[in-house]
Amino acid sequence: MSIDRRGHRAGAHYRRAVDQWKTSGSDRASSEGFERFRVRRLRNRRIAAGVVAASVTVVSVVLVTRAFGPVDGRPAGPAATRGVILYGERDPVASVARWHTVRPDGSARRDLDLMATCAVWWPDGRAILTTDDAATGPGRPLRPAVVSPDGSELRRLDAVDKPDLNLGCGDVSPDGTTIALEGFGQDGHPELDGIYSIDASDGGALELLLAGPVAPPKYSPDGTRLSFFDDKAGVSPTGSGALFVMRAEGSDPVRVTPWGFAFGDHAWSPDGRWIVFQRPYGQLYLVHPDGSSLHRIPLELPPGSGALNPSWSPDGAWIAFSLQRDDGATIALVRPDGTGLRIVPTPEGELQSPDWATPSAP
Amino acid sequence: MLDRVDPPVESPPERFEDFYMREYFAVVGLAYALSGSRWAAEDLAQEAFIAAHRDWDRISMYDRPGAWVRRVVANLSVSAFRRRVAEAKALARIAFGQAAEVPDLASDDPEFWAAIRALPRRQAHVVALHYLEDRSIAEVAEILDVTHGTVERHLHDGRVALARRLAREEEP
Repeated sequence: MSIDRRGHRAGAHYRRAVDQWKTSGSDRASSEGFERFRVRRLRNRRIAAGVVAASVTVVSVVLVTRAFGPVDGRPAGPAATRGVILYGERDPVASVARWHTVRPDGSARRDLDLMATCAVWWPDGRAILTTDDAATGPGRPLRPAVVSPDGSELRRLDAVDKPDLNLGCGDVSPDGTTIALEGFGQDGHPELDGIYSIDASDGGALELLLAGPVAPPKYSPDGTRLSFFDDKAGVSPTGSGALFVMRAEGSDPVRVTPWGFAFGDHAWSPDGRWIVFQRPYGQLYLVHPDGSSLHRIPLELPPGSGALNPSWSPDGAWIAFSLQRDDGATIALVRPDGTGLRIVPTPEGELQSPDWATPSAP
Repeated sequence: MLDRVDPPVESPPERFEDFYMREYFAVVGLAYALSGSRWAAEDLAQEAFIAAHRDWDRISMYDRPGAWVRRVVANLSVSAFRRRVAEAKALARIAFGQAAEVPDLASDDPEFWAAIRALPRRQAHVVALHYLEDRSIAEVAEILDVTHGTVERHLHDGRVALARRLAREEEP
């Protein structure tokens, strides 16, 4: 069959599928739906621009705290005060997050003046691994970068001369020498998708560890293994997948959760015995790295809310996560057994991807 | 006695809401074909509609506002970076059951659409609009704001590249 004929046939089928979808899902194109989308964007732009005054901060903290209440009989509020949580505030207009740091009790909040897709602490807390979104454009693919804990001194890690390959979010090895990260092809190069490693000093020495999966990998605390999320067609619910663990050099990937159980982000406990991950529909689960003892953290959240982006505290006693509601998201803490749920007092917004560390003294 | 001649009546510009409801599914379909992502397609399309809404006084005066939105969504959809960001947002909503995914519109010949996405961006735009929306060369030229000859060249080059790629995939 000629390409022209095949194209017309494929196009005709596609148009029929669109028509069928239109018939069955006509309410999706409602002006109310568009207005919700538009207003949500406008609201977040205002928040990102810092228009929300300090009074709103106080009110929002009070409201959120009141909404969730003393979950386990203790007064809602911070108890875990050590370390610093790095988190992003999504700006839907810029399609990236604005990054902040805050202590778990809500004190010492700092705007890093950093707009990036992702950011995680360097293992010793002396720096932050992020993405250099600002310099991304035609002929300039996405690359990781390093910034100081106060957000200054951004240094792009771009020793790799491969313009068709974007290098995005990742993790620094515990010894600080290597970065494992997701790579995805620039326009029309899906064959480049996979998990890569680069030298942490300059971004050079690119190595493809595993072709295919595009999700930020995480190092085990001893640096010998990498965990990552992968999905595949046909897994229900759509978009979900499974968690895998492989050797740090990219060999022997082993699936540690059933298909359909995992959804994106995850984190190793500091002792390396557990991996916390998010399951579809906003639930947090724990599993040993060999796939045993899979169980849900009994976290009771109000209807319509869910937990995403889990991260362990440096002492392993708490898990920080993004508590998502229909009208925004905040950073919350819970113990691994599901007790002690509390909100980190911060201004309202779409807060995401907490990463908890004990930064070294500057 | 002369017949009375009514002055020509200019039709008022279309309301954005009507335009949105009419074009929504086709624009999401185009975003899906060019991005290959069932999750990101709606967000990419919404980005394009937001841009149109912001400037609707001007865009509604165009002969074909739908062409303008298609040009925006085509540019958004072939960017791997933009696609990934939109996908992350959509997946987060799906995670809580707050959004349903777009059905698999390309189930009849997914290899063909995947091959289109592997083309250089302008060729992908031209080929997708030509086959997906059954657009003539003149219409594709208008949508993409390029010359007739440019569309012909990209369509020719795109067909040659598709033939090579699809033939290679069929080899044992």
